[in-house]
Amino acid sequence: MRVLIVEDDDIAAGMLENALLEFGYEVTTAHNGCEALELIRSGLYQLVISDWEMPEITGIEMCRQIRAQQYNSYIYIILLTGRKGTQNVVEGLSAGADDFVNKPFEPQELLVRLRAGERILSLESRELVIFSLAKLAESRDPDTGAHLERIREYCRLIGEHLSQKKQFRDMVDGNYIQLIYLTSPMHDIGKVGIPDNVLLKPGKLTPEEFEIMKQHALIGFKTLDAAVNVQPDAKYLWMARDIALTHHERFDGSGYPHHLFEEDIPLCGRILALADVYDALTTKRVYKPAFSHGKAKDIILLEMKGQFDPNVVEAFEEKENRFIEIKEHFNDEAEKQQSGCASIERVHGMNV
Amino acid sequence: MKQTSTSCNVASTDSAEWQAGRDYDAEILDYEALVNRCMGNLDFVDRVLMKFHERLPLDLEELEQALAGQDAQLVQRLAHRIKGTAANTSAKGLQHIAQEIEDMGHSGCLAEIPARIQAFRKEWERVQAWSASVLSKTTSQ
Repeated sequence: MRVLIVEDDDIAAGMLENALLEFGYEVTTAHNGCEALELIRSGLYQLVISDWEMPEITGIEMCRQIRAQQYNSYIYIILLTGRKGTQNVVEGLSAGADDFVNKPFEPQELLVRLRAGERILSLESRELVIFSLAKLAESRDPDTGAHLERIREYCRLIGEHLSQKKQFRDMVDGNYIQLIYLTSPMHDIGKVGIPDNVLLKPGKLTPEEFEIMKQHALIGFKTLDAAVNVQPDAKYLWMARDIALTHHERFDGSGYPHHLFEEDIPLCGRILALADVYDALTTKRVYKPAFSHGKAKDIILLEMKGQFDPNVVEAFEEKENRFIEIKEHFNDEAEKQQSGCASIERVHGMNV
Repeated sequence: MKQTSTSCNVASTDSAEWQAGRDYDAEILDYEALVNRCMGNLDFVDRVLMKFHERLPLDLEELEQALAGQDAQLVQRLAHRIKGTAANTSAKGLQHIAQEIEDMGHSGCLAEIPARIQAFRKEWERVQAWSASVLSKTTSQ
Protein backbone atom coordinates (compact mmCIF):
# COMPACT_ATOMS: atom_id res chain seq x y z
CA MET A 1 0.00 0.00 0.00
CA ARG A 2 1.13 3.54 -0.72
CA VAL A 3 1.89 5.91 2.14
CA LEU A 4 2.44 9.62 1.83
CA ILE A 5 4.85 11.08 4.38
CA VAL A 6 4.55 14.81 4.97
CA GLU A 7 7.59 16.03 6.88
CA ASP A 8 9.71 19.15 6.45
CA ASP A 9 12.62 17.73 8.44
CA ASP A 10 14.71 15.68 6.04
CA ILE A 11 16.25 13.53 8.78
CA ALA A 12 12.85 12.63 10.22
CA ALA A 13 11.45 12.07 6.71
CA GLY A 14 14.37 9.81 5.83
CA MET A 15 13.94 7.73 8.98
CA LEU A 16 10.21 7.35 8.42
CA GLU A 17 10.77 6.40 4.81
CA ASN A 18 13.39 3.83 5.76
CA ALA A 19 11.08 2.21 8.34
CA LEU A 20 8.05 2.14 6.05
CA LEU A 21 10.00 0.69 3.13
CA GLU A 22 11.25 -1.98 5.49
CA PHE A 23 7.63 -2.74 6.44
CA GLY A 24 6.79 -3.20 2.77
CA TYR A 25 4.98 0.05 1.99
CA GLU A 26 5.42 2.14 -1.12
CA VAL A 27 6.48 5.54 0.12
CA THR A 28 6.33 9.06 -1.25
CA THR A 29 7.59 12.02 0.74
CA ALA A 30 6.26 15.57 0.53
CA HIS A 31 8.31 18.23 2.27
CA ASN A 32 5.47 20.60 2.96
CA GLY A 33 1.70 20.75 3.15
CA CYS A 34 1.20 22.30 -0.31
CA GLU A 35 3.17 19.56 -2.01
CA ALA A 36 1.22 16.98 0.00
CA LEU A 37 -2.16 18.41 -1.01
CA GLU A 38 -1.13 18.31 -4.67
CA LEU A 39 -0.13 14.66 -4.36
CA ILE A 40 -3.34 13.76 -2.52
CA ARG A 41 -5.36 15.28 -5.36
CA SER A 42 -3.87 12.62 -7.63
CA GLY A 43 -6.04 10.06 -5.81
CA LEU A 44 -3.08 7.75 -5.29
CA TYR A 45 -2.81 8.17 -1.54
CA GLN A 46 -5.25 7.07 1.13
CA LEU A 47 -2.78 6.73 3.96
CA VAL A 48 -0.98 9.88 5.11
CA ILE A 49 1.53 10.37 7.93
CA SER A 50 2.11 14.03 8.59
CA ASP A 51 4.13 16.13 10.94
CA TRP A 52 2.01 18.53 12.97
CA GLU A 53 4.38 21.48 13.03
CA MET A 54 5.36 22.61 9.56
CA PRO A 55 5.95 26.03 8.05
CA GLU A 56 3.17 27.55 5.88
CA ILE A 57 0.57 24.78 6.07
CA THR A 58 0.64 22.92 9.38
CA GLY A 59 -0.44 19.31 9.68
CA ILE A 60 -3.68 20.48 11.26
CA GLU A 61 -4.43 22.89 8.44
CA MET A 62 -3.63 20.19 5.92
CA CYS A 63 -6.15 17.86 7.65
CA ARG A 64 -8.82 20.56 7.43
CA GLN A 65 -8.17 21.12 3.74
CA ILE A 66 -8.29 17.40 2.99
CA ARG A 67 -11.61 16.99 4.81
CA ALA A 68 -13.05 20.08 3.10
CA GLN A 69 -12.36 18.50 -0.31
CA GLN A 70 -14.57 15.49 0.41
CA TYR A 71 -12.58 13.14 -1.79
CA ASN A 72 -14.35 10.06 -3.13
CA SER A 73 -11.98 7.82 -1.20
CA TYR A 74 -11.40 8.33 2.47
CA ILE A 75 -7.95 9.64 3.36
CA TYR A 76 -6.66 8.23 6.66
CA ILE A 77 -4.37 10.72 8.39
CA ILE A 78 -1.91 10.00 11.18
CA LEU A 79 -0.37 13.05 12.81
CA LEU A 80 3.15 12.91 14.19
CA THR A 81 3.43 15.08 17.23
CA GLY A 82 5.39 15.75 20.36
CA ARG A 83 2.33 17.53 21.74
CA LYS A 84 0.58 16.06 24.69
CA GLY A 85 -2.67 16.76 26.46
CA THR A 86 -6.35 16.45 25.75
CA GLN A 87 -6.60 19.87 24.16
CA ASN A 88 -4.15 18.92 21.41
CA VAL A 89 -5.88 15.60 20.82
CA VAL A 90 -9.22 17.38 20.49
CA GLU A 91 -7.72 19.95 18.14
CA GLY A 92 -6.20 17.23 15.96
CA LEU A 93 -9.32 15.09 15.82
CA SER A 94 -11.54 18.10 15.18
CA ALA A 95 -9.38 19.07 12.24
CA GLY A 96 -9.88 15.59 10.76
CA ALA A 97 -6.88 13.57 11.93
CA ASP A 98 -7.61 9.90 12.54
CA ASP A 99 -4.74 8.96 14.81
CA PHE A 100 -1.55 10.24 16.43
CA VAL A 101 1.97 8.92 16.76
CA ASN A 102 4.35 10.42 19.29
CA LYS A 103 7.64 11.92 18.18
CA PRO A 104 10.18 10.46 18.02
CA PHE A 105 8.31 7.59 16.41
CA GLU A 106 8.76 3.98 17.43
CA PRO A 107 8.69 1.78 14.31
CA GLN A 108 6.52 -0.96 15.81
CA GLU A 109 3.96 1.51 17.12
CA LEU A 110 3.87 3.23 13.76
CA LEU A 111 3.31 -0.10 12.03
CA VAL A 112 0.33 -1.10 14.19
CA ARG A 113 -1.24 2.31 13.71
CA LEU A 114 -0.80 2.04 9.96
CA ARG A 115 -2.35 -1.41 10.03
CA ALA A 116 -5.33 0.00 11.95
CA GLY A 117 -5.67 2.64 9.25
CA GLU A 118 -5.56 0.02 6.53
CA ARG A 119 -8.32 -1.92 8.27
CA ILE A 120 -10.52 1.16 8.37
CA LEU A 121 -9.88 1.89 4.71
CA SER A 122 -10.61 -1.66 3.62
CA LEU A 123 -13.84 -1.75 5.59
CA GLU A 124 -14.95 1.49 4.04
CA SER A 125 -14.52 0.41 0.48
CA ARG A 126 -14.82 -3.33 0.22
CA GLU A 127 -18.52 -3.90 0.81
CA LEU A 128 -19.59 -1.32 -1.69
CA VAL A 129 -17.10 -2.41 -4.31
CA ILE A 130 -17.93 -6.09 -3.96
CA PHE A 131 -21.65 -5.67 -4.28
CA SER A 132 -21.38 -3.13 -7.09
CA LEU A 133 -19.17 -5.44 -9.14
CA ALA A 134 -21.46 -8.37 -8.50
CA LYS A 135 -24.50 -6.31 -9.51
CA LEU A 136 -22.73 -5.19 -12.64
CA ALA A 137 -22.10 -8.80 -13.61
CA GLU A 138 -25.67 -9.75 -12.77
CA SER A 139 -27.14 -6.87 -14.76
CA ARG A 140 -26.44 -8.76 -18.00
CA ASP A 141 -28.79 -11.47 -16.86
CA PRO A 142 -32.00 -9.69 -15.79
CA ASP A 143 -33.82 -12.97 -15.24
CA THR A 144 -32.33 -13.55 -11.82
CA GLY A 145 -34.10 -10.78 -9.86
CA ALA A 146 -32.76 -10.35 -6.34
CA HIS A 147 -30.60 -13.44 -6.70
CA LEU A 148 -27.55 -11.88 -5.04
CA GLU A 149 -29.54 -10.53 -2.10
CA ARG A 150 -31.04 -13.97 -1.46
CA ILE A 151 -27.81 -15.86 -1.98
CA ARG A 152 -25.93 -13.94 0.67
CA GLU A 153 -28.75 -14.41 3.15
CA TYR A 154 -28.82 -18.18 2.50
CA CYS A 155 -25.05 -18.38 2.87
CA ARG A 156 -25.15 -16.50 6.13
CA LEU A 157 -27.82 -18.84 7.47
CA ILE A 158 -25.80 -21.92 6.60
CA GLY A 159 -22.65 -20.34 8.05
CA GLU A 160 -24.45 -19.53 11.29
CA HIS A 161 -25.58 -23.12 11.61
CA LEU A 162 -22.13 -24.55 10.89
CA SER A 163 -20.52 -22.21 13.42
CA GLN A 164 -22.47 -24.03 16.11
CA LYS A 165 -21.00 -27.39 15.14
CA LYS A 166 -17.85 -28.52 16.91
CA GLN A 167 -16.03 -29.58 13.74
CA PHE A 168 -16.40 -26.14 12.15
CA ARG A 169 -15.95 -24.00 15.25
CA ASP A 170 -12.31 -23.17 14.48
CA MET A 171 -13.05 -22.14 10.93
CA VAL A 172 -16.55 -20.70 10.90
CA ASP A 173 -16.66 -17.77 13.27
CA GLY A 174 -18.35 -14.40 13.10
CA ASN A 175 -15.68 -13.10 10.76
CA TYR A 176 -16.14 -16.04 8.37
CA ILE A 177 -19.88 -15.52 8.30
CA GLN A 178 -19.42 -11.83 7.60
CA LEU A 179 -16.94 -12.63 4.82
CA ILE A 180 -19.21 -15.13 3.10
CA TYR A 181 -22.09 -12.65 3.34
CA LEU A 182 -19.87 -10.06 1.67
CA THR A 183 -18.29 -12.22 -0.99
CA SER A 184 -20.99 -14.69 -2.00
CA PRO A 185 -22.56 -12.16 -4.42
CA MET A 186 -19.32 -12.38 -6.43
CA HIS A 187 -19.83 -16.05 -7.36
CA ASP A 188 -21.00 -15.39 -10.92
CA ILE A 189 -18.78 -12.41 -11.69
CA GLY A 190 -17.12 -14.45 -14.45
CA LYS A 191 -20.37 -14.31 -16.41
CA VAL A 192 -19.28 -10.92 -17.73
CA GLY A 193 -17.00 -12.93 -20.01
CA ILE A 194 -19.76 -15.15 -21.44
CA PRO A 195 -21.18 -14.11 -24.84
CA ASP A 196 -24.77 -12.84 -24.92
CA ASN A 197 -25.94 -15.59 -27.27
CA VAL A 198 -25.06 -18.14 -24.63
CA LEU A 199 -25.76 -16.23 -21.42
CA LEU A 200 -29.12 -14.88 -22.57
CA LYS A 201 -30.28 -17.83 -24.67
CA PRO A 202 -33.98 -18.40 -23.94
CA GLY A 203 -33.81 -22.15 -23.87
CA LYS A 204 -31.70 -25.17 -23.11
CA LEU A 205 -28.01 -24.83 -23.94
CA THR A 206 -26.35 -27.19 -26.39
CA PRO A 207 -23.40 -29.18 -25.01
CA GLU A 208 -21.02 -26.76 -26.79
CA GLU A 209 -22.80 -23.76 -25.33
CA PHE A 210 -22.78 -25.33 -21.90
CA GLU A 211 -19.01 -25.75 -22.19
CA ILE A 212 -18.77 -22.03 -22.88
CA MET A 213 -21.07 -21.22 -19.96
CA LYS A 214 -18.93 -23.34 -17.63
CA GLN A 215 -16.01 -21.02 -18.37
CA HIS A 216 -17.54 -18.39 -16.08
CA ALA A 217 -16.07 -20.14 -13.03
CA LEU A 218 -12.55 -19.87 -14.42
CA ILE A 219 -13.05 -16.33 -15.71
CA GLY A 220 -14.25 -15.24 -12.26
CA PHE A 221 -11.33 -17.03 -10.63
CA LYS A 222 -8.76 -15.39 -12.90
CA THR A 223 -10.24 -11.94 -12.35
CA LEU A 224 -10.25 -12.26 -8.58
CA ASP A 225 -6.89 -14.03 -8.52
CA ALA A 226 -5.37 -10.97 -10.16
CA ALA A 227 -6.90 -8.87 -7.38
CA VAL A 228 -5.51 -11.26 -4.75
CA ASN A 229 -2.04 -10.83 -6.23
CA VAL A 230 -2.32 -7.07 -5.94
CA GLN A 231 -3.66 -7.17 -2.39
CA PRO A 232 -2.70 -10.51 -0.83
CA ASP A 233 -3.63 -9.39 2.69
CA ALA A 234 -7.29 -8.93 1.77
CA LYS A 235 -8.90 -12.14 3.04
CA TYR A 236 -12.23 -11.34 1.41
CA LEU A 237 -10.60 -11.48 -2.02
CA TRP A 238 -9.30 -14.97 -1.30
CA MET A 239 -12.76 -16.12 -0.31
CA ALA A 240 -14.38 -14.40 -3.31
CA ARG A 241 -11.85 -16.11 -5.58
CA ASP A 242 -12.50 -19.55 -4.05
CA ILE A 243 -16.23 -19.07 -4.34
CA ALA A 244 -16.04 -18.00 -7.98
CA LEU A 245 -13.95 -21.03 -8.87
CA THR A 246 -15.71 -23.74 -6.87
CA HIS A 247 -19.40 -22.92 -6.55
CA HIS A 248 -20.25 -25.43 -9.31
CA GLU A 249 -18.09 -28.19 -7.87
CA ARG A 250 -20.08 -31.05 -6.37
CA PHE A 251 -19.31 -33.07 -3.26
CA ASP A 252 -19.36 -36.31 -5.27
CA GLY A 253 -16.92 -34.99 -7.87
CA SER A 254 -19.55 -34.46 -10.57
CA GLY A 255 -19.15 -30.69 -10.71
CA TYR A 256 -16.91 -28.33 -12.67
CA PRO A 257 -14.41 -26.95 -13.57
CA HIS A 258 -11.99 -29.27 -11.75
CA HIS A 259 -14.28 -32.13 -10.61
CA LEU A 260 -13.13 -31.69 -7.01
CA PHE A 261 -14.34 -34.07 -4.32
CA GLU A 262 -15.60 -33.47 -0.80
CA GLU A 263 -13.21 -31.44 1.41
CA ASP A 264 -11.02 -30.59 -1.59
CA ILE A 265 -13.75 -28.08 -2.32
CA PRO A 266 -13.34 -25.06 -0.03
CA LEU A 267 -16.14 -24.81 2.52
CA CYS A 268 -17.33 -21.50 1.09
CA GLY A 269 -17.75 -23.19 -2.30
CA ARG A 270 -19.73 -26.04 -0.72
CA ILE A 271 -22.01 -23.58 1.06
CA LEU A 272 -22.58 -21.55 -2.05
CA ALA A 273 -23.30 -24.62 -4.17
CA LEU A 274 -26.41 -25.44 -2.18
CA ALA A 275 -27.55 -21.84 -1.82
CA ASP A 276 -27.18 -21.26 -5.56
CA VAL A 277 -29.06 -24.41 -6.55
CA TYR A 278 -31.86 -23.73 -4.06
CA ASP A 279 -32.27 -20.24 -5.47
CA ALA A 280 -32.24 -21.45 -9.06
CA LEU A 281 -34.90 -24.03 -8.25
CA THR A 282 -37.22 -21.66 -6.36
CA THR A 283 -37.15 -18.80 -8.86
CA LYS A 284 -38.57 -18.56 -12.31
CA ARG A 285 -36.15 -18.85 -15.20
CA VAL A 286 -36.74 -18.66 -18.94
CA TYR A 287 -36.41 -22.42 -19.15
CA LYS A 288 -38.48 -23.37 -16.05
CA PRO A 289 -41.11 -22.11 -13.63
CA ALA A 290 -40.35 -21.33 -9.97
CA PHE A 291 -40.58 -24.51 -7.92
CA SER A 292 -42.08 -24.58 -4.46
CA HIS A 293 -39.82 -24.91 -1.44
CA GLY A 294 -41.04 -28.49 -0.98
CA LYS A 295 -40.18 -29.50 -4.51
CA ALA A 296 -36.79 -27.77 -4.32
CA LYS A 297 -36.09 -29.54 -1.04
CA ASP A 298 -36.95 -32.92 -2.56
CA ILE A 299 -34.64 -32.28 -5.50
CA ILE A 300 -31.77 -31.28 -3.21
CA LEU A 301 -32.27 -34.13 -0.76
CA LEU A 302 -33.25 -36.89 -3.17
CA GLU A 303 -32.51 -36.23 -6.82
CA MET A 304 -29.21 -34.46 -6.11
CA LYS A 305 -28.31 -36.66 -3.17
CA GLY A 306 -24.55 -36.83 -2.70
CA GLN A 307 -23.84 -33.65 -4.62
CA PHE A 308 -23.77 -31.43 -1.54
CA ASP A 309 -21.78 -31.49 1.67
CA PRO A 310 -23.96 -33.41 4.21
CA ASN A 311 -23.22 -30.75 6.85
CA VAL A 312 -24.46 -28.04 4.53
CA VAL A 313 -27.54 -30.09 3.70
CA GLU A 314 -28.17 -30.54 7.42
CA ALA A 315 -27.92 -26.77 7.90
CA PHE A 316 -30.43 -26.30 5.09
CA GLU A 317 -32.88 -28.72 6.68
CA GLU A 318 -32.42 -27.19 10.13
CA LYS A 319 -32.97 -23.69 8.82
CA GLU A 320 -35.55 -24.43 6.14
CA ASN A 321 -38.17 -22.13 7.63
CA ARG A 322 -35.73 -19.26 7.42
CA PHE A 323 -34.95 -20.22 3.80
CA ILE A 324 -38.67 -19.95 3.05
CA GLU A 325 -38.91 -16.59 4.83
CA ILE A 326 -36.00 -15.18 2.84
CA LYS A 327 -37.39 -16.48 -0.45
CA GLU A 328 -40.85 -15.05 0.25
CA HIS A 329 -39.50 -11.78 1.54
CA PHE A 330 -37.62 -11.11 -1.67
CA ASN A 331 -40.56 -12.27 -3.79
CA ASP A 332 -42.70 -9.73 -1.93
CA GLU A 333 -40.09 -7.07 -2.50
CA ALA A 334 -40.05 -7.85 -6.22
CA GLU A 335 -43.85 -7.62 -6.38
CA LYS A 336 -43.84 -4.33 -4.55
CA GLN A 337 -41.26 -2.95 -6.93
CA GLN A 338 -43.31 -4.10 -9.89
CA SER A 339 -46.41 -2.42 -8.48
CA GLY A 340 -44.45 0.77 -7.86
CA CYS A 341 -44.58 0.74 -4.10
CA ALA A 342 -41.16 -0.57 -3.24
CA SER A 343 -40.07 0.01 0.27
CA ILE A 344 -37.00 -0.78 2.24
CA GLU A 345 -37.75 -2.51 5.44
CA ARG A 346 -36.07 -4.69 7.97
CA VAL A 347 -37.70 -8.05 8.48
CA HIS A 348 -36.61 -11.11 10.31
CA GLY A 349 -33.30 -9.45 11.20
CA MET A 350 -32.22 -9.19 7.57
CA ASN A 351 -30.52 -6.11 6.22
CA VAL A 352 -32.31 -5.39 3.00
CA MET B 1 7.97 39.76 22.15
CA LYS B 2 8.93 41.09 25.54
CA GLN B 3 9.75 38.73 28.33
CA THR B 4 8.02 38.77 31.66
CA SER B 5 9.37 37.56 34.94
CA THR B 6 6.54 35.09 35.53
CA SER B 7 6.80 33.45 32.11
CA CYS B 8 10.52 32.78 32.66
CA ASN B 9 9.95 30.74 35.79
CA VAL B 10 8.72 27.75 33.82
CA ALA B 11 11.95 27.42 31.89
CA SER B 12 14.06 27.75 35.01
CA THR B 13 12.20 24.90 36.66
CA ASP B 14 12.61 22.72 33.58
CA SER B 15 16.29 23.49 33.52
CA ALA B 16 16.73 22.51 37.15
CA GLU B 17 14.91 19.25 36.50
CA TRP B 18 17.10 18.49 33.55
CA GLN B 19 20.30 19.27 35.44
CA ALA B 20 19.19 16.96 38.22
CA GLY B 21 18.30 14.24 35.76
CA ARG B 22 21.56 14.58 33.88
CA ASP B 23 23.60 13.28 36.81
CA TYR B 24 22.20 9.80 36.44
CA ASP B 25 21.42 9.99 32.72
CA ALA B 26 24.98 9.82 31.51
CA GLU B 27 23.97 8.50 28.11
CA ILE B 28 24.70 11.13 25.50
CA LEU B 29 22.87 9.44 22.68
CA ASP B 30 20.66 6.39 23.05
CA TYR B 31 22.31 4.35 20.34
CA GLU B 32 20.04 1.35 20.80
CA ALA B 33 16.92 3.46 20.30
CA LEU B 34 18.48 5.09 17.25
CA VAL B 35 19.37 1.73 15.71
CA ASN B 36 15.85 0.49 16.41
CA ARG B 37 14.37 3.57 14.74
CA CYS B 38 16.64 2.90 11.77
CA MET B 39 15.32 -0.67 11.61
CA GLY B 40 18.69 -2.13 12.53
CA ASN B 41 20.37 -0.77 9.40
CA LEU B 42 23.78 0.40 10.66
CA ASP B 43 24.77 2.04 7.38
CA PHE B 44 21.62 4.07 7.60
CA VAL B 45 22.42 4.97 11.23
CA ASP B 46 25.78 6.34 10.06
CA ARG B 47 24.15 8.36 7.33
CA VAL B 48 21.65 9.80 9.81
CA LEU B 49 24.42 10.78 12.21
CA MET B 50 26.46 12.38 9.44
CA LYS B 51 23.46 14.34 8.27
CA PHE B 52 22.80 15.36 11.87
CA HIS B 53 26.36 16.62 12.19
CA GLU B 54 26.13 18.56 8.95
CA ARG B 55 22.85 20.19 9.76
CA LEU B 56 22.88 20.98 13.43
CA PRO B 57 25.56 23.73 13.32
CA LEU B 58 23.56 25.45 10.56
CA ASP B 59 20.33 25.19 12.55
CA LEU B 60 22.10 26.54 15.60
CA GLU B 61 23.44 29.47 13.63
CA GLU B 62 19.95 30.25 12.37
CA LEU B 63 18.65 30.05 15.91
CA GLU B 64 21.24 32.54 17.14
CA GLN B 65 20.36 34.91 14.33
CA ALA B 66 16.69 34.71 15.24
CA LEU B 67 17.62 35.40 18.84
CA ALA B 68 19.74 38.38 17.82
CA GLY B 69 16.71 39.68 15.94
CA GLN B 70 14.54 39.10 19.05
CA ASP B 71 12.15 37.08 16.90
CA ALA B 72 10.59 34.90 19.58
CA GLN B 73 8.29 33.09 17.14
CA LEU B 74 11.16 32.12 14.87
CA VAL B 75 13.23 31.11 17.90
CA GLN B 76 10.42 28.83 18.97
CA ARG B 77 10.04 27.30 15.51
CA LEU B 78 13.75 26.69 15.01
CA ALA B 79 14.15 25.26 18.51
CA HIS B 80 11.21 22.99 17.79
CA ARG B 81 12.91 21.73 14.64
CA ILE B 82 16.20 21.14 16.44
CA LYS B 83 14.34 19.35 19.21
CA GLY B 84 12.69 17.07 16.64
CA THR B 85 15.99 16.21 14.99
CA ALA B 86 17.63 15.55 18.36
CA ALA B 87 14.70 13.39 19.41
CA ASN B 88 14.84 11.33 16.22
CA THR B 89 18.56 10.74 16.68
CA SER B 90 17.93 9.95 20.36
CA ALA B 91 20.26 12.70 21.58
CA LYS B 92 18.24 13.19 24.73
CA GLY B 93 20.32 15.95 26.32
CA LEU B 94 20.16 18.06 23.19
CA GLN B 95 16.47 17.33 22.87
CA HIS B 96 15.84 18.51 26.39
CA ILE B 97 17.75 21.79 26.05
CA ALA B 98 16.07 22.48 22.70
CA GLN B 99 12.72 21.91 24.39
CA GLU B 100 13.64 24.51 27.01
CA ILE B 101 14.59 27.01 24.32
CA GLU B 102 11.34 26.30 22.48
CA ASP B 103 9.37 26.92 25.66
CA MET B 104 11.25 30.16 26.27
CA GLY B 105 10.56 31.26 22.71
CA HIS B 106 6.90 30.37 23.18
CA SER B 107 6.63 32.46 26.33
CA GLY B 108 8.72 35.30 24.86
CA CYS B 109 11.33 34.81 27.56
CA LEU B 110 14.42 35.34 25.43
CA ALA B 111 16.86 36.63 28.06
CA GLU B 112 17.78 33.18 29.36
CA ILE B 113 18.19 31.61 25.97
CA PRO B 114 21.89 32.52 25.43
CA ALA B 115 22.78 30.51 28.53
CA ARG B 116 20.77 27.61 27.24
CA ILE B 117 22.44 27.85 23.86
CA GLN B 118 25.77 27.69 25.64
CA ALA B 119 24.63 24.56 27.44
CA PHE B 120 23.42 23.21 24.11
CA ARG B 121 26.82 23.80 22.52
CA LYS B 122 28.54 22.01 25.38
CA GLU B 123 26.22 19.05 25.01
CA TRP B 124 26.72 19.16 21.27
CA GLU B 125 30.48 18.80 21.78
CA ARG B 126 29.85 15.69 23.85
CA VAL B 127 27.59 14.29 21.15
CA GLN B 128 30.18 15.06 18.48
CA ALA B 129 32.92 13.34 20.43
CA TRP B 130 30.72 10.36 21.12
CA SER B 131 29.57 10.13 17.49
CA ALA B 132 33.10 10.40 16.19
CA SER B 133 34.12 7.41 18.24
CA VAL B 134 31.09 5.39 17.14
CA LEU B 135 31.48 6.33 13.47
CA SER B 136 35.20 5.56 13.46
CA LYS B 137 34.46 2.18 15.01
CA THR B 138 31.79 1.27 12.49
CA THR B 139 33.80 2.49 9.49
CA SER B 140 36.90 0.59 10.59
CA GLN B 141 34.92 -2.66 10.95
